[in-house]
Amino acid sequence: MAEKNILVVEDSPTNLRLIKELLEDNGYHILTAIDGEEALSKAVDEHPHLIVLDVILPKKNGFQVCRQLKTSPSTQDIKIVMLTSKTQDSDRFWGLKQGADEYMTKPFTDDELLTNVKKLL
Amino acid sequence: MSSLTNLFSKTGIPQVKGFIDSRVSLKILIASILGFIAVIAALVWLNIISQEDLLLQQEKAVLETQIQILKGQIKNSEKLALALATVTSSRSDVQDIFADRDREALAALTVPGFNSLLPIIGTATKSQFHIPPAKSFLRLDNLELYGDDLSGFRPAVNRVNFEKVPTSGIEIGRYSAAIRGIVPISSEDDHMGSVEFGTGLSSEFLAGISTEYHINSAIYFYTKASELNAFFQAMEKKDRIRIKKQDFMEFATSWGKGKIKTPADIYSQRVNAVKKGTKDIYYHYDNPGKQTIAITVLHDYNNSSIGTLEVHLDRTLVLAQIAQSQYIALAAGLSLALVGSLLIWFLVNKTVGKPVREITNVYHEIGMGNFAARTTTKTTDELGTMASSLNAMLDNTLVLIQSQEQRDAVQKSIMKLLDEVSALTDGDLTARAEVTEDVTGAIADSFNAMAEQLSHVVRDVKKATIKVGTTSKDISLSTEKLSNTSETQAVQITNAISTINKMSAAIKQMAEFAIKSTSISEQSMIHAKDGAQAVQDTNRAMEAIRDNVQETARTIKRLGESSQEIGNIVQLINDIADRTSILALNASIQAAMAGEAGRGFAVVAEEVQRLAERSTSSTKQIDALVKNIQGEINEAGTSMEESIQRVVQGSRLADGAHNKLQEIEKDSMDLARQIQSITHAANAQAKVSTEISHTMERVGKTTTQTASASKQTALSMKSMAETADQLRESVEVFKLGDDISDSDKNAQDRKVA
Repeated sequence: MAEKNILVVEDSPTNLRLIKELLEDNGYHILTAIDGEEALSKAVDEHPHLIVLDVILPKKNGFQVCRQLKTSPSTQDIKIVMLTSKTQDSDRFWGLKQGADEYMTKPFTDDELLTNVKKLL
Repeated sequence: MSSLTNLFSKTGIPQVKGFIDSRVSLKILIASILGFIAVIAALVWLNIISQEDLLLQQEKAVLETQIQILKGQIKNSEKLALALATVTSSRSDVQDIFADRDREALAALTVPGFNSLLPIIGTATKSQFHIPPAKSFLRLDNLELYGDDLSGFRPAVNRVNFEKVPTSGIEIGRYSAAIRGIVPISSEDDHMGSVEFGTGLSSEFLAGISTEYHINSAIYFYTKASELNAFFQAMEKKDRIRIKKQDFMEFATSWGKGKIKTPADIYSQRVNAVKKGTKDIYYHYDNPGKQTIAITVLHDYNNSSIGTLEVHLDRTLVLAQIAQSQYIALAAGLSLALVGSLLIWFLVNKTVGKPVREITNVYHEIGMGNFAARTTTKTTDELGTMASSLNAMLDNTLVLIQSQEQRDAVQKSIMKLLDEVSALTDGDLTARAEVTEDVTGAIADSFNAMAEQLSHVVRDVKKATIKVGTTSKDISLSTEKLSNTSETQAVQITNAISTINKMSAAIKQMAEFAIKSTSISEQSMIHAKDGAQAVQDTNRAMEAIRDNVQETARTIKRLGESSQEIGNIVQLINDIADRTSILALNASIQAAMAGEAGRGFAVVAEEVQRLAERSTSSTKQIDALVKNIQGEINEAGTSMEESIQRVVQGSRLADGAHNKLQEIEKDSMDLARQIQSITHAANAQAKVSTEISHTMERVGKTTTQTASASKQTALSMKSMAETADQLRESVEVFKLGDDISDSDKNAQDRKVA
């Protein structure tokens, strides 16, 4: 099985590192972005298999990014896992409505994230 | 949240207050205790009643026993007296001596035995022999007194000596009453008298029973009983008193006269006992006198009610027992009520008071703001349910209170969001709301999504308005052209209408002419028909003439044949006349020969000769005539033939004329038909042309309308173009991220988005 590409979008360096290491340890190839616009351009250019997407991001928020990717025919096949500190039911609802394949809230466990990533890939 | 916990810690659970604080349990308690006490009271009362009833029953039983003993004693005395009298009367030696009326011998025989019996049967026992009807013969207890008449006051003795049967029972005498047995004495069916034994029914008798059985008894006489008349008369005479004022008179008591007071209201029971005369016992409770009196009727030997037999029982003990049982019942009831009340108090407090108190306390706590307060009541009844419901309600309320704090935060983030999206309301579609950690994050982004979507829409609208403007201008131009064309068309149509109208008038005229021709042709057709008919009639007449002529020819022919026959006949007649002439000549010769005789004959013959000659000349004339007729007949036949020929010719000509006329009729009919169809056609044409005229008028109108409508349309299109311009201007208000003319970039964006 070829190595799967995962784009991790996270503005907090600590969180970014944690997620990156966790996924790399489990055999995924990781790309990173630290704001919404970078995320969009990398998604278009690199076309990863999956994106772990934070919501509160500089420039463009995670909902916008998700919406644009999922409405564009060229990128809508990219799986998106939203990983955010927004825990309200309305946030989960809106996230899934924008096309996210999974909605996870922080804090999260490693198993949780891995299970969801494995499920989608 | 922290402020709430502070609030909770300020107020502890308040002290459990006194039981009385719980009004509900107090009410339940009072109701329960009252109910319980009522039940206890009822039980106590029932107990007292039954105790009293029991004591009264016992008392009655004692009194009944005493009455029975008393009656038994009286009955025993009676039986003893009867037995002694029977034994005495059946002794043969007594019978013998009594038969001899030997008083001294009888006394010597009976008195020693009687005296020896006295200690056994009682010293009050008396015995006496009587001789009928009721004379005292010997008194065993008083030998000196005898010979006196008893019939005035000893009805039992009278009866024994009269009816000769043994009699026993209570008998009232002159001054006293006694229990007696009287038996008749007889020897070999010879009644000799009677013997009696008896003991007095008196206070002493009753006192004796009292001594033996402790029965306090009394006998009262009913003063109205007729059996007592003799007794009372004697008493009144002796004591000089009037007794009959009272219905009952105290006759004997076991305690001596007057010692015990009898209550005044006992009277009715005594009367009842006497009047009914049955064995019933009546009880009279004399509580002031502390005694109970049992009353029963007293019968004499003859079973007549003569008074009452009464037993007095001391009630002191019974009353004391009743009182005691009441005290005991009351005391038991009271203690039971007390214990029960305590028990109820305990139960109500445990099952109602405590839970109610706890629940009430929780409500107090809530009233003071302590929403953490909970009840610990865990019962399975409604109060337990209420307590657990209250706890659940408080849990929910706590959650609601917590959301109040969150609501404030939400309000704040909503205001921030409103501030951010306010640019949208000014038409700035580039405005975006920030997605934060707050609850409004999703909503903010939904505004963003909406603004994005709206941008696309407004962009499209802008493009569309420009297109609409251009298009509507084009349409406006085309419509104006159309309008002009329509107007020209309208004028042309008006001209067409007037031409059609003229044509229509011409056609109408033609139709009228055709109608006139029709009538003329119809008339000629009728004339031709009439002519044909006339010719046909002529022809028929000619045929008739031909038939007649032919018939006439046949008749003439037959006439010719007849005249031929006439000629033949004339020839015959001529021959006959010739022969007659010869005959006449012969006759005249003969007559002449006959001379004179034949002269007359000769005259006749001459006459006949003349006749014959005349006949011959006539026949010659006839023959000439017949020949003439035949000639004429031949002529007539010829002319007839000619006539027939002419008639045939005439009818042939007539037939020709008829055929010609029929042809004329047929032709004129055809003509008429053709003219008719011409008329129809002309009419139809006229109608059609009128319709065409109408249609053309309508077309004209429509065209006029079309013209005006297209004018209107042209105007509308102009105004639409203006509207489109206005719309474009309005949409210009919306600020978009990129200019509309920059369509390439726009398309690029949309592909990515």
